[in-house]
Amino acid sequence: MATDSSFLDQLADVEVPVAPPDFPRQVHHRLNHWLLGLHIGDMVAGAFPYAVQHFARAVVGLVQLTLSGEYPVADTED
Amino acid sequence: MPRKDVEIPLDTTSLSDEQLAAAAAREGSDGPAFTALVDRYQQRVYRICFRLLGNEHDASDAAQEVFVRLFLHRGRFAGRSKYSTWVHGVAVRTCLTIRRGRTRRKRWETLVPEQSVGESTASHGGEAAAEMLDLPQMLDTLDEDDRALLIMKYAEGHNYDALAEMFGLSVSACKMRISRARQRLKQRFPEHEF
Repeated sequence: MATDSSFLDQLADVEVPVAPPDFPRQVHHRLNHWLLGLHIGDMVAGAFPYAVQHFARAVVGLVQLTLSGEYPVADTED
Repeated sequence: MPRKDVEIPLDTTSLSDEQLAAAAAREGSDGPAFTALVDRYQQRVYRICFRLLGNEHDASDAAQEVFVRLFLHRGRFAGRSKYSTWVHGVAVRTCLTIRRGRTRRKRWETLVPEQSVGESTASHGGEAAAEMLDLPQMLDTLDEDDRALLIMKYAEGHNYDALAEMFGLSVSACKMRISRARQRLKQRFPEHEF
């Protein structure tokens, strides 16, 4: 049983194990997973708006063709 | 013809933590500066995580998470405090987040044997509680921040300035919280001098 002068000071005496020997490898492993996820996230975030814009243009063209019978053609200079 | 790398090797042993942190901010995850920081701090961070989380598996998991955060936020270290204090602060906040998540889960699953023992015996007063609880269990009756403050003060031996930096509080707020936490422990476990 603890004696009372400094009961909280006993916290310093609690035995703490050392970190596992392959701890740095585990850290780098986890970090690589994180970085891979972040890169994929960045790529998706960049590619998604482009894909939406690309397909939306085609859908708008299809609707326009259905309503007017004319497909919008970009002006070209001969 | 093989390409010869022109790379100036970083002598990590002679650099301070702050200098390594500055070098790590410019390099990738497998760079020598960050690797040296992991080597220097792994035991300290693991020890803090173990003290705050109470078991080896969670401590290892949390300590890894701490180093991931240190790497991802390595540009945020502004050098206003010592690097070690900043690392300890990240470790404390990571462990508090994990413990809060664990408490929420426990609440949902209504599996709170340790805390309910602590709370019920504490509410019935001193001697019975003292017989049933050891010091870590007594600390579990406090809220997470107060518990972490006491552990960092008495187990890790940090002064109030460092605690203030780690917990994002003023020095006087730290003193006040620690004093109140000790008061609360005294009320719950009057047979001990906290």
